[in-house]
Amino acid sequence: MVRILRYDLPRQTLIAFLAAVAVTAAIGYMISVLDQVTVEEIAKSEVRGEREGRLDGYAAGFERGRLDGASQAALDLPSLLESGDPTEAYQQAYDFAWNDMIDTVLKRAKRDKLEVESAFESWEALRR
Amino acid sequence: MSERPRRLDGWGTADRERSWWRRSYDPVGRHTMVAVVLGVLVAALIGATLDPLNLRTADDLRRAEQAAYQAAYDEIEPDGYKDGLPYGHVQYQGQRLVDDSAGADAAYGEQFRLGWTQGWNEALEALHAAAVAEGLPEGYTEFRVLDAMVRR
Repeated sequence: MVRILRYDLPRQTLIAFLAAVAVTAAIGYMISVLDQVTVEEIAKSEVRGEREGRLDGYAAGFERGRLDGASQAALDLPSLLESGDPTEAYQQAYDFAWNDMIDTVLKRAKRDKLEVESAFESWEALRR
Repeated sequence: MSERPRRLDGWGTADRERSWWRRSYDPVGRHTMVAVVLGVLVAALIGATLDPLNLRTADDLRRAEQAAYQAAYDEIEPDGYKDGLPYGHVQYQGQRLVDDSAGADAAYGEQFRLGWTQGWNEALEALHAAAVAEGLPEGYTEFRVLDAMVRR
């Protein structure tokens, strides 16, 4: 195997190949070193990704569930009007409207809030 | 012939004075070029797939964030769906029974509309009472927002 390197052509080819590998690896290493980040930065990215993933995942799931729920209600409504439990209807509507009011008010108040003190926590505790 | 037949010394000297397009085939040049290209490709392929130096770069930040995002997204999405399902069910009933006045004669629809109105209005009162209990001064944002809400 080594004897073949006595000939110019294979030796030249091998040297060119190894030189190309070495130069490419060196350039890649330099780029990586200049671009290197710490473990803390990666941990921060993970926390950021997790937070955004939870927000987006919940919102997407909620929206999907809301649409499915509406579709189901469209199918259920005739039978509910005919033989549904009025007490249950009252309670469902009451709780929905109750929470809807709290969400609406909290959203507006948080948007306009300038003062330090707030009643937001006690308002949120009122949710059903 | 040369005393060192294995070397290429003097190879192509006859072509030296010719124009480049009239020179003969150059094996060293072609093989060298192929070897260089292959060397670059092999090194790039190893670096891109095996990552032997195991370096953390800015690209890892993006990948770490995306992986954490996807894991959290997949974990929480069913919870959102579970909460959204009854919400959509009641919301649709509200649109049909309250906004469109469907089922005006049915007891179910009547009670639904009653709960829809009372829940909203009583929540408004409860929120006001909670703000007062917190001891917030008059004119605070909470009171301004509550005063702007319309009762059903």
